[in-house]
Amino acid sequence: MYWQTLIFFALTYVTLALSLNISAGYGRLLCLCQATFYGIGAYSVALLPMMMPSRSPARMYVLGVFVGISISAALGGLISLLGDHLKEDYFLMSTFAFSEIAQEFIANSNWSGGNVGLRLKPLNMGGVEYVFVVSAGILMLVAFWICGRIERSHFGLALITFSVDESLSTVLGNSSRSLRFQCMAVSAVLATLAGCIVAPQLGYIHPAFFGVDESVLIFTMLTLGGLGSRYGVVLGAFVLAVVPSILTFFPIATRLDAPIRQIIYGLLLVVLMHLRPSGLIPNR
Amino acid sequence: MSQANKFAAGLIALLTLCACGRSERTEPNPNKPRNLRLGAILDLTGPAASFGQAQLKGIELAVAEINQSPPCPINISAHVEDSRLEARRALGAATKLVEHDHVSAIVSITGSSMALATANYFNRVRVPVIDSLSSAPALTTEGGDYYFRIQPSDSYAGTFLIRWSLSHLRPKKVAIVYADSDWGQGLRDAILAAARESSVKVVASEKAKLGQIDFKPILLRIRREEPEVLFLVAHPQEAGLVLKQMAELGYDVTVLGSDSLSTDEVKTAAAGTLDGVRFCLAAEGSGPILDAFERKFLARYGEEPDINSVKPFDAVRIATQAACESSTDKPSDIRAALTKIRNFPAITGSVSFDQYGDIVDPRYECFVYRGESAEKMNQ
Amino acid sequence: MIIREEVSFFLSLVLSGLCLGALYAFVATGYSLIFGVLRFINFAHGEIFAVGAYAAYVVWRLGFSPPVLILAGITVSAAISCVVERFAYRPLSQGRTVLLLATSVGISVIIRSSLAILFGDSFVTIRPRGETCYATLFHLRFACGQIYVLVVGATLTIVLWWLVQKTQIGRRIRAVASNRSAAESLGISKHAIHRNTFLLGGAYAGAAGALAALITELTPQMGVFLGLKAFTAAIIGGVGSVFGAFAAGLLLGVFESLATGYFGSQYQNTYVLLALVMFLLLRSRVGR
Repeated sequence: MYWQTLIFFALTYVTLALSLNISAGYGRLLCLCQATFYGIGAYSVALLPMMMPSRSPARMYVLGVFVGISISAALGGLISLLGDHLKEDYFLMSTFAFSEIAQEFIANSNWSGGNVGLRLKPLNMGGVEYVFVVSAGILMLVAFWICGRIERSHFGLALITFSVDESLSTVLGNSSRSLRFQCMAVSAVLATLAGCIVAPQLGYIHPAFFGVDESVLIFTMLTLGGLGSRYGVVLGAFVLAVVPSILTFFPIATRLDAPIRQIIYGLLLVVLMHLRPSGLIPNR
Repeated sequence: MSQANKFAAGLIALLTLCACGRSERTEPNPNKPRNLRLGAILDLTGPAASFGQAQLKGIELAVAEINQSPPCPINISAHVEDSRLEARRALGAATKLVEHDHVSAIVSITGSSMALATANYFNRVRVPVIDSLSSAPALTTEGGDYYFRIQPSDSYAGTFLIRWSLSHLRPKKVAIVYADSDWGQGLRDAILAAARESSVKVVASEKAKLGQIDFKPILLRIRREEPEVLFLVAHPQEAGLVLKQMAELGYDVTVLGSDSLSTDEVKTAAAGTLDGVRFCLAAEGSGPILDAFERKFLARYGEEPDINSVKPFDAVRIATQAACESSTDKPSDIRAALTKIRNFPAITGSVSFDQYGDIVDPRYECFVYRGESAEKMNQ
Repeated sequence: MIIREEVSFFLSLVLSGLCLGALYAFVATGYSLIFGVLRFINFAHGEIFAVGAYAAYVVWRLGFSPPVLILAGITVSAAISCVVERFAYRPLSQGRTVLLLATSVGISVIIRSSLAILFGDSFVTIRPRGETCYATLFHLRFACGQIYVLVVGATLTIVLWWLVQKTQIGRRIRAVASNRSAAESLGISKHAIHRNTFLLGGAYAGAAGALAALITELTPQMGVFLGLKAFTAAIIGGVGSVFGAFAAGLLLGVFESLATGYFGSQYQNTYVLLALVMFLLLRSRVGR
């Protein structure tokens, strides 16, 4: 069961990293707010059954999924418009600010449970325990497949050819704008779905799970794997999701346990960046 | 596409493997002294490690004591997992304790958020939790049928703080400085609710963010409103800074706080500014039974016990009592026995559980700092 | 007099904000310098600030007085900053920004955990001797710590101005920041510039850290909290513009203080971040 939880989270992170790959790797919209979309999904499915307790929880869950997807797609679209106006670094900063604002908003509000977090009402999904783990796997495959489609499309091929960021928008012109918009929307929706699956499985959510730290982690997974390379992203995300837990099997002196593991994690990151700058499995 | 197909196949295989990992529960032999396995999910190496380590000591002492002279033919063992105050890890610990170690009850969880995070799981697998530290009001309803705690909910704390301040200080206007965390927020809400009921006006309710450096803007703002009492329910780090900066501003107002003001950390950080600061916390207990505990603790660990070691000690005793009174080791039977517990002689006072698993009629004590040390005040 | 009270309230807030802002300003300078020259957001810069604070703490424990603490903060932070540049960032300086970003994330984790190992997870304080120390001027209370921050801060600011405007090092850094390729073609050694940038940025972050150690408590997480705000200031001030970042840092501190004082602490961060987003949008409209 412990391994099951681990695999479940690894799958979720891979999905999140793949979704970020779609917007940042293919769409060249480097954003630091993926965890916010993830959070929108989680909070939508947590809050809707709570707001209407008289209706069937399963139906409210599905409604929550739709509400979450709609909000995220809209926000994603807005953000991509912002991305067209701002230079890469400024855009990064804006999405970072957006992520912080969203987290503070949720943490401050009473209806969202604030800093205490929300416990989800248990869903009776026909008594099958593994439905969420399987869903996580399916979602991951879907994200993977979408990446594959993009890579094989005209847009993807053009991206591989013109690999310099600055000239991209001038070369591809306005047609790229709508494509990037779509990339961002798809990316947001995938992240939201991941949130919809994680929330009931975990049974409890808290704003700290969906803040900047999480966005940075997802971004790091993507960078490690290699932007625009879906196999690399899967490997990178898997490694970063699983390594900290694997490290717990090597116990060190109790008090220093956690910081030493963090140091190993940090060193791993730095070393891998140096050894494989194009990512673990770079773009061909 | 075939590469992706292989990939997908591999993934499905991996998932199937996971689905096949289930373990069985074995029934104990009724003729031998029963083995009662108790679990705990503590923060041993994370941000609240000082709490978790104290709880661990209380639990281990209780196990040793009870096995020496058990109330019925029973042998108890404790299985402790480290949550590091991360919900994912706490959940993993919960599943390991139940499915791998086959515990019959959980005797402590460090932190209300961890208790909330694992509540769904423990209710689903029907393993009772007797918690010793979590005070979030949300746990009263959200903890579920299998959640019990001997730490009073902060809603009592909030009511008590307001009532005490009304009878001793008679404020018309009060202000709150609260921690930006589940604990702080819970206490703030409890104080606000109690203030509303007693027609006390809360003129300011300011958040003390974790890691904040400068509290002077908040203090200046509060000073402008001229409250008679300032409720300081912040974590030790921020509370210490608040008190220090109040002194720097020359802001002299009666400060009333909660357990965080009793910690050594606040005494160090706010040294020199503590005189007159008051705080109230759930009663530690007194009398011979507490003295006996303190002696045994000192003998085993060579140091004075922390308040956070006393309650887990009691939790283990209560769990054992419930197991003795129930005929089997089935956790659901232990839970039924827990609901029937009345006036159990815990160190911290007499324990009975209400229908929510909360402790009935908790007692609080208040202290005031004279110089650097705190004196108990009369109720 | 109500007016006098209002003015006093306002000025007290400004004073508090300036002290906090000084810390932001010094750290923001580092972000700005590094971004101007290497074109990436150094996530680990906040930790350099924390290192300076702990260095000051250690020196205080050894029994030295505040000026020595400040020096300790400056030197240790500058040194660590250079070491990190040489071994972690220099090999990647030709690569994409994201690589440096991810590496800096790793470095920040390493530094933070090292501080946790060395000093424990809980907080430590520099305890002043005797009574709470303060002075009163124009009916305003200045805590001794605040006086120190203002005086040392002002001095170091003048030094910074001189370094950046008047010395060769400063001129070269500015040259590289404004036009990388042109500066290279003029034969300015890239490695020396990078090293000096990190040296300067690190030194000022360390100074801020030492000053912070005098007025607040130290935790291994302190770099994260302050780093975020300082980094916001650097963006508002304009990347590559050292004095823009500096001014923005001061303004941010004052703004935060005034906003909290007049409107409360609930959405403190949100106001700041909204200001950031609007500022960024405005800048892009005005032109780059």
